[in-house]
Amino acid sequence: MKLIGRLSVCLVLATTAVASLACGDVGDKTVVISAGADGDIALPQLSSQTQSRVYAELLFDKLAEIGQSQNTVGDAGYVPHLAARWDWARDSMAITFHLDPRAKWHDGQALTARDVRFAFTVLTDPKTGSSAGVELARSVDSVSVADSLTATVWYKARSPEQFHAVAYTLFPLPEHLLGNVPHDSLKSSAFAKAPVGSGPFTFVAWEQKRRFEMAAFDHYLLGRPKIDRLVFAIAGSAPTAVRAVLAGDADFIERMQLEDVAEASRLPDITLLPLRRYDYGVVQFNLWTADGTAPHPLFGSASMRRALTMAVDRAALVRNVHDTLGRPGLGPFARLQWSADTTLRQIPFDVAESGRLLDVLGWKLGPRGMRSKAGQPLAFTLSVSSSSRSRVRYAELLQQSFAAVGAAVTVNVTDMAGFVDQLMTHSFDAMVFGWTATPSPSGARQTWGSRAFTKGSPFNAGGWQNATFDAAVANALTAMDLKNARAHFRVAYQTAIDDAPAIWLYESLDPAAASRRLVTGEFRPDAWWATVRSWDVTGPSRRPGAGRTATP
Amino acid sequence: MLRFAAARARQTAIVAFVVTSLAFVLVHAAPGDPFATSLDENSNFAAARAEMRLRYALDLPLWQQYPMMLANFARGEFGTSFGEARPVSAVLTDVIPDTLLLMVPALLIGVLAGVAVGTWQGAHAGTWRDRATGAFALSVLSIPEFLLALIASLVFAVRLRWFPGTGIFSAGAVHASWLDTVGDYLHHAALPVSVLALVIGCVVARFQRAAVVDTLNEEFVRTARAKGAATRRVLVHHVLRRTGGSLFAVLGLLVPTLVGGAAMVEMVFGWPGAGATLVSAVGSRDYPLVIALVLVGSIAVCVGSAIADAAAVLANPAIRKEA
Repeated sequence: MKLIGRLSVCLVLATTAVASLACGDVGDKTVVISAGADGDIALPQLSSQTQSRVYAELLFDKLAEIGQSQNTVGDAGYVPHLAARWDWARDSMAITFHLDPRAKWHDGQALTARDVRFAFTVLTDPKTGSSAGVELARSVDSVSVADSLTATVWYKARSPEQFHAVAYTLFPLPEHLLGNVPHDSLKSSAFAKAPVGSGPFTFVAWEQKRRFEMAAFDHYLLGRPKIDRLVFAIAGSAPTAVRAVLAGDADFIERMQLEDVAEASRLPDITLLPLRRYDYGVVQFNLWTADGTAPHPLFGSASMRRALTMAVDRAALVRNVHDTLGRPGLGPFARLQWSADTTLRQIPFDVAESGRLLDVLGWKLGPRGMRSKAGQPLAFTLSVSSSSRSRVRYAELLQQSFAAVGAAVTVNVTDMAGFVDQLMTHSFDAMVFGWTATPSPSGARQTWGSRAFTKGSPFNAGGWQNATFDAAVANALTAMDLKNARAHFRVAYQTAIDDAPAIWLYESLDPAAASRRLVTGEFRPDAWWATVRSWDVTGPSRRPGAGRTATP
Repeated sequence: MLRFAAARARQTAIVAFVVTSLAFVLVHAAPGDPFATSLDENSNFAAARAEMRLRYALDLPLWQQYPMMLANFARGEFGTSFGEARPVSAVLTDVIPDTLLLMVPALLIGVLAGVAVGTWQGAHAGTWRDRATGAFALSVLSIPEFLLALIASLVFAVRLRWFPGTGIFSAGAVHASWLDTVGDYLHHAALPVSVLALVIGCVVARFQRAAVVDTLNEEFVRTARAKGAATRRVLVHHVLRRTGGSLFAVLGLLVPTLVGGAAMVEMVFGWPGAGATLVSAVGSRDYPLVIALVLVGSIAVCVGSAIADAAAVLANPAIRKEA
């Protein structure tokens, strides 16, 4: 027995010695970013997965980049990137981009106007399967090439966001590498998993579901990034990804789980970073039966929706779940959007008025405090995905709020796949979920417009159809004057608030977390990764013993 | 021995067939669409989904998909993972070695430690030290593996920072030599392997203690003692030899638990093995990957049990004679 004991001790000691002497050498200028999930490809505008977008936008650059103002009207909010400058045609029906002659692909080839035209052709080809391309084709007619550094974008019509439509969407693609790849097989090509881009970082390696590695591009036209290497460590789940940062395995995570914020704030080498976000959460009512042929017996009525909205003290709910890291939602928009209006008239929290409205609708209180009408109880299911603990918590609190006015709510927590299935087949009563808006308020048409309600689509899954809203958004998106556009948006938003297709629950301000050795500067709200090229690393490495200088 | 191997191979084939069929039915019965969360946000969902379903033959009725799947499996083709957009066989090639890097050391350490502790407990049965060790083992076994893993991660990785909390290697590490690679692995494996080994060790120790107590009461042991053999010699030469058979039987029973436990531990520690991949594949309704991993898991359990049974027969002369 003693022999086994001694052997065990020796084994443990030897293991510890080898492990402590020969840790992974991460190097001082390597930054490890923790991510819960991996992407599928690393090509811009060809994947809906957020992580794919992160990879693609670090590897590929745009003609111009939106700045911190997030202004999408005209070109005032944009700064030059691949294009050194641009000229507007007198009638605003064309914009000529003059490429920076220093712009290069990562393989050393010069980036030319032909690559801009090629990207437009690829993106707008329906065979490519890019939804961004479909959107682009709605506003842009064609791209012509005058010389190797001059590309002109020809528009179908003028609009306040016509510059944004191109600058935000169009990433030049290397024609010399992709010219022979059929558009319908671009997503499955080898290039999609090992691309040659034009952005601040070059592709190094990708082990799917494990790590994605990039290196600083020495010849990046806006200056070499300050960090040498950027590694995304894929943890497999959001909680594990957070733990990777808390344990010192990674330097940065873009979103902390709310329940881990307190733990992170206790750790001396971790700093919590405020991030402005476009995220907002709602309780969406389904206005139709699952087959879509008849109005929902409860939520087909605007009065019922308003009554239930009045039963919810959104400020108290947000305090309970998000504490100071959230604020009540205001409508079908995020406060960061230029169209946002914080003076809109809200449906007030008023339990007595809610009860009175329900009485008027014929839903009478029973002996147990629950309401019914013609023998039918006032009851419905509130669906929520288990992937978000904060939204599950909101659902539980909403259940209590609705019970206070006599509505019996069953909270149905399902996994993401099951939840999305309910969303897309419109087979739900009400659901708690979140949207991420974009700097452009045009997304409101997509998310809440009447035409978005189609079977198999998650957009406007509740089937709210309101001609006033549709017309006001359409007018706003074509108004050339910002003040005018804002006025139209105000009408649209007020219509949505009054008609209550959803309860505008919260806007989240979930912080990022970073190792104190990392200097990040200000984040851009629509894309936290947009400023990575200006990040720097100071101080010692994350883990003692793992920070000897490496030669990547 | 050949007859034994043939019989177990038949048994494995039947189990694999039944388990795969069940997995096929269950994964298709679960609500949710494999492509629902990966389709482009603004595209025509219905058309895109129909195109994907056509591409992967999911538009066919299940009774047609099922024989197609079996025929493909017979040819060694597992299809393409929906989530990873690459052949399932490539995913398996990546994840199975990583699971082995977790399970094999955990099994070795757990069994060695469990045998040592169980034997020691048996030799000191009834003492306060035996009771305390037994209570500790029972406490460990009453805690779910994922919770044990979570506690270990929070204490030793997050709070004390003694070990990394996620992955097999440091993300972004540049290993100058094989020693660096091994060291980095050991550092990362310390916590997950320890958690798994602790659970295995506690199970083994409980069985080993009972077996040792029984064996110590046997006549041949009393005879050996009467002949003046020292306690250590009695334990090592007589008792351990006798208890080996039952130990291998326990290990056979442990294999399925080990596979399930490893999945939980992999999830908590972000260890990119087969278990974590299976959990993620179920969540994203990645049908081919789920079914392939279930198939591999069932074969692993059958083979593991067969090896344990064979070892039990070889280790125990009495059973060998019966066989």
